[in-house]
Amino acid sequence: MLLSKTSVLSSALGVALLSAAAVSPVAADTYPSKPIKVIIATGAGGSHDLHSRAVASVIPAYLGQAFIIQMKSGGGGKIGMNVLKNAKPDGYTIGLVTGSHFAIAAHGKDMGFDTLKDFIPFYQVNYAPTMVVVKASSPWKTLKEFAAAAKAAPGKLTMSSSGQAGSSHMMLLQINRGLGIKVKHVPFRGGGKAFNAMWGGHVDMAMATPTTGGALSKIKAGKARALAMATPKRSKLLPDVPTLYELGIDYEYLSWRVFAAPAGTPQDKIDILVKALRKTSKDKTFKRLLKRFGEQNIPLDGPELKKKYVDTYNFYGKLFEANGLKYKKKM
Amino acid sequence: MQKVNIGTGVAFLVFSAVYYFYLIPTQIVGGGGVGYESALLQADYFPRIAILCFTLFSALLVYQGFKQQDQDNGAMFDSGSERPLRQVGLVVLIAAIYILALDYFGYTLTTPIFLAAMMIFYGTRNWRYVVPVALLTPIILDQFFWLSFQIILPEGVFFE
Amino acid sequence: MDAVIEGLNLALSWDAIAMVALGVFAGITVGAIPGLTSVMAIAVLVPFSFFMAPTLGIPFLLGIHKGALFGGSIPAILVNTPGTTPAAATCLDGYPLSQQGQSRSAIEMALYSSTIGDTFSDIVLILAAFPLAAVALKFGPTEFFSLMLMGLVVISSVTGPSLVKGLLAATIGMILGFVGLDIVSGAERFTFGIDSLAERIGIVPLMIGLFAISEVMIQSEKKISQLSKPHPMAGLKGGVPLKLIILWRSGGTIARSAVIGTIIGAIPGAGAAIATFTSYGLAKRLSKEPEMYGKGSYEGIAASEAANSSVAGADLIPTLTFGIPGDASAAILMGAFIAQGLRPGPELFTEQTGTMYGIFFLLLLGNPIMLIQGKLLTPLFARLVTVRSSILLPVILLFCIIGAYIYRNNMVDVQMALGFGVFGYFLRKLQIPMAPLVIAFILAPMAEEAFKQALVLSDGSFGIFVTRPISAGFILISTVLLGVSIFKRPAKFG
Repeated sequence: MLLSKTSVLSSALGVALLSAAAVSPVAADTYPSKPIKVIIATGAGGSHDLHSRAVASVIPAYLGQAFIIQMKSGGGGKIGMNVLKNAKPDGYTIGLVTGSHFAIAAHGKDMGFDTLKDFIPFYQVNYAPTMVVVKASSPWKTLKEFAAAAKAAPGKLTMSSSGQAGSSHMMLLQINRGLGIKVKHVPFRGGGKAFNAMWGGHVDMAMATPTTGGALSKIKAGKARALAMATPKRSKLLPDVPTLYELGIDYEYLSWRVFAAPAGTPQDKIDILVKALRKTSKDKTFKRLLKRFGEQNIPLDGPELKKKYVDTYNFYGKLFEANGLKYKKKM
Repeated sequence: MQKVNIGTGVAFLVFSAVYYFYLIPTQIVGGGGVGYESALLQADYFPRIAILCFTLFSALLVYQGFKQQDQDNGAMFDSGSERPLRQVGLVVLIAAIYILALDYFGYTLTTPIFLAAMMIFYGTRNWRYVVPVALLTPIILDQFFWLSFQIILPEGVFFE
Repeated sequence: MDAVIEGLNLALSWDAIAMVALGVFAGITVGAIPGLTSVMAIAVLVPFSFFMAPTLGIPFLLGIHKGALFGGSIPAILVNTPGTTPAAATCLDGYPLSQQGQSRSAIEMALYSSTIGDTFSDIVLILAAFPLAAVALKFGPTEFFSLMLMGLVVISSVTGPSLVKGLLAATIGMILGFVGLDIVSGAERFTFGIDSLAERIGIVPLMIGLFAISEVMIQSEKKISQLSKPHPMAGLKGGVPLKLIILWRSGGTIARSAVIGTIIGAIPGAGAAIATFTSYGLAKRLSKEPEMYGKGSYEGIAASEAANSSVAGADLIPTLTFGIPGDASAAILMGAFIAQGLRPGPELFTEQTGTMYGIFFLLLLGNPIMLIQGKLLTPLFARLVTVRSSILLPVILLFCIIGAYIYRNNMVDVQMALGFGVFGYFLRKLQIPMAPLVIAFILAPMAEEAFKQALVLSDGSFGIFVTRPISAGFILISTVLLGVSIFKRPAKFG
């Protein structure tokens, strides 16, 4: 080990500088004057991770500062969302949130936050539609045929889900109610495993986004079949596939990627972020990245987004009530 | 007679009782998935089996403790001083204080102190070793994680 | 034939080779740092691969995948800390060897075993992916349960001298494993309101605590005067290179472990951990020197490392043949393939092109590259632990603490790691073995989940476990293994 006085002194200096940087306030004239933390409530490699990195790779050019991704997974979104809720609303901490956490899980159990009060959604990056998928080798070409088969053999046909009271379980419950059938629910740990179970032939049906397990490419290759889309209107991706609504089932689920800030974040700072994000959505590299992911580019912001946020939350609230699963906060 | 085994076995038995009669009823929350009537599918089934096995094995351990004839030193600590235990305890204490401090004061400030304290505790008297290691290691680690994965080490609530 | 030549051309270019080498090096580094997972690393780097040519970006990511599984053995051997989860089995024999001053040869054994294991599975991937994948696809919850059951029975082979203590360890592992969300009922179990526990106790903080921190504590019992003196084995400079005869003798073990690792690794969702422990347990049972296991058996290292590295190639089998990822890193890798227009499916192996052949060649090339890098780095690593304990122990402790933090960016994990450290310390003092605990911790919850899913599917009928052929097979193996271990025990009970 080299132990000259100079090395010791220089290391001391280094520490002093680093500590100073961590401690002293930076001249905060223009926002943003330091990098912005983006909290992700899911784990590495998921679609949120990828989307946030896509944005992060492009936005510095438009914002002047970097986005630093901080993954805080755990508790089905509880940990990350609460970190976001409790963060200082100074515009330097935001999150990329998903409906699965704030609109679905929030109704099923005590997540520790209030969706409507604790967050300010300000920019939608995109959403992914979800679909009801079966293998191409299965005998049902439409959901009606599936329903007929289910009626003939109640409790025999199966659908996998990503877990109790999750988006796919809710879809199953609504399908059962809407069509008056009894499809058996087999829970798995996560949407990926749920899809794999269907693909491996262990369950009959699964819910998927276009990218879950490469679902869309499998459908386009003719190996899988989408029986219905859980979207408000028919999707451009698969225009021949009817929506659940068309088939009499009251359900939709869009896997949403929305930037949100903790309540109390000043609007002017949010506006600056929105401006930069709008430019990001138009950026060529960003668009290319999304395309490689197999995702669409669907930017949205402003009052329309806010309305969608509230409506989505309430929509699932009603669903949970109807199915008797709504979590009642103990006052 | 191996006292250690008996003692441990009994302690485990007590734990089993607590687990079975208290923890299982209180700590399994929620659930009641739609339509699962079978007892097997309930959330408490497997934990109950596990703790019953545990009870059985703990009892066996106690039994062994009584039957054991050989003298292989089953004592937990070499007889004599409590010096070893004291040292271990101090190490844990320093580590615990560091972990607590990490949350409040952040990595950069607390880590050099932690390293220095531990090295001195373990007997490194030569400051030529202590100072550089205590100062350089944290910096190198911090920079490495930041540059490679954008991982930020704890910044300390105090400074937010 | 043209495609093969085109592939060779693509592969044997300097930039492609450089990318693989870089990936392997990054992988070894990531694997060697507890708390950093290759999933994380691959996830961060995957977007970069999108804009590179497929034979540059993808082999880079594959290199990381490869390197990490070897890299995890390094801290396992040197400081009893598995750098990756499956390396836990390597701790059992690697660390004792390191304490005997044979760090270098231990790491080299890990290196050779890893390389051979990975090469084997890569070859299987390239040549025989389809038949294997077709079987792997048949693994539903029923088969999963039987597989996990077999893994749990393997525990009986690694209990060490006291069966009762081993079984106690296993049940403790199970009890710890049941903490968290039960997917079938939706209930949260034993979380005590702590959010971080809602998704199970983190395997990384658990292992860091049980293996590494407990070891630091045990070392801390020594006299201060002893700890602050230069390391007694410093003169050995970390040990000598592995004697090839030792490698040769473990050849059978390596071969068998590579096969086990490849088969189990090809089952989507099974994971490297079960492959590694099954291989280790089996190796011990079939070994001529079983009593050496846990005390410093080179064979033990070989069994563990050959198996866990062969998972690197094997988990790509279901991923590329049918688009069902073998594990989390394979899932991300699949995304990288799709982004380059390489769709998983039979066409990938039959129609494609030079590109796929290029990628396959680079995959194979990654192995000798890893061997070379390993051989160069090993003496360095091995010498690291000749630093005197009074400096080494604090640094190790720091790595443990930071490693537990970066796993999930969560301070609670760090507190848990310390807690498990203390817990592990007492367990070790009581001679309660770690291996069964870790195996049970990982496997029991998976087995429970699979069991329940299977029952839901079969409407409550138990028969399903024996009527389905694959499941029946594993149940049979489990019964045989269990019987053998009970009846072959030395007369002295416990």
